[in-house]
Amino acid sequence: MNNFEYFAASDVKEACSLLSRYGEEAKVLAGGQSLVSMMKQRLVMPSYLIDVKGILELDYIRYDEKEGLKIGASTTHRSIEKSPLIREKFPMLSDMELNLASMAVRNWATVGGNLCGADPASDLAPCLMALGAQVTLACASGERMVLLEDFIFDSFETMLREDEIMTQIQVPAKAARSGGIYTKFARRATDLGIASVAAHLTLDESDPDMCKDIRIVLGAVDTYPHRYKRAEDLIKKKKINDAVIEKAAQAVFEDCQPTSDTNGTEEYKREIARVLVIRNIKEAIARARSL
Amino acid sequence: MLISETFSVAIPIKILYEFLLDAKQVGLCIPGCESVEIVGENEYDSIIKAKVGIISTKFKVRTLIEETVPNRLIRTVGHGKEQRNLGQFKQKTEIKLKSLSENETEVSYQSEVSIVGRLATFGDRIMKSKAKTLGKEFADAVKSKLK
Repeated sequence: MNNFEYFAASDVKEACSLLSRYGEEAKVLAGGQSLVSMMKQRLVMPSYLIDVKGILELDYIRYDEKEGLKIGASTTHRSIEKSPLIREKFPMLSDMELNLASMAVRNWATVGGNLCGADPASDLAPCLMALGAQVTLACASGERMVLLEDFIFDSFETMLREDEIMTQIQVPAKAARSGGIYTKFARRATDLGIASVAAHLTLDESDPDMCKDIRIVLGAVDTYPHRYKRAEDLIKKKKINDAVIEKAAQAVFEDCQPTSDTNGTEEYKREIARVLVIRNIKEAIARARSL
Repeated sequence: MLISETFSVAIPIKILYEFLLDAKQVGLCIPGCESVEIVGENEYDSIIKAKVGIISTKFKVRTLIEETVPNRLIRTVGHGKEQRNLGQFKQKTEIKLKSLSENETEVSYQSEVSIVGRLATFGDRIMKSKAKTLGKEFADAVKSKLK
């Protein structure tokens, strides 16, 4: 590892001011589960490391019916996993956390660090995209909010500028008759996924067979997690039945672009994605109807 | 890792073929290419910067144009080394040109790329995606250069 100067920022203002001072020579440490390992391999050699994990104002989980769920970017995965509030309002997030890496990692890694790392096989990003999350990015001159589905636009690539840090993740309030699930297909439950699918839908309140809205997001399959809008449009505003679900799953099968590797061939991954989409939509419907 | 892509450009086949054999001109269209130096007949060195997320790399690349069939085919081989010793790669590329009309040409390329070293830990998926993005940027740059 190269030599670097370490700063433990005490608040957002200090972190942003350090970033604007040191620019691209600085990197933000938000748990460091990926960054430190890249630094050890000398893939990344920052001159300045700005640690934001200790910023207490970014460690929170709040919910209200108007603004929905707000999670501070320095909140750990373990806090999300253990939060009774998240378990009650968004169980798909709590369930996802149970299989995200090891407990040691979940105890230390932060949600902001995970999203800014933009790993194509992230478990968190598909889940939050399916829930319609927005993220807040702050710099010395102010802040902006962007949809998470726009924030990550390629493998390891995000809209985050060199002078910005992520401060908050916001999920819209839970709609009536809505439900979702995230499933990861991996060799071991806590491994990075070979393919993963997050599906979240809202049923029409007057007709529980009618889909009012749906989001389908795949992780680990393509170069970055993203929505499958063609598949969503095949279900949205329609009566849901097996034929419609299978049509949507087939659209995902056709639209996804996996790469053959040691985990499986392109065809194998497409088929896993197709099956997971069918299963997850059915489970999301069951969860939405049960509430 | 096999990278392939087919696209068409509104450029006559002869102009495109000649352009692709001009290393200096091609270098200007390669994303991140800092310099091109001719080192022999059909052989040149280039310095190319590439970035994946927070990882920035700089490669010294040697390319040899191995075979050409006028207005139809260009075959190259090459190898490159990352300047901070993060990895090395070898490539074999075949570019096929097909005239679609007087002013339109279809370009299909296929590259067999092998990467070793620490960069290889990124895996095919990321490299392939990056190559695809760079391929698109290159095609766009060629199109705008020959407008």
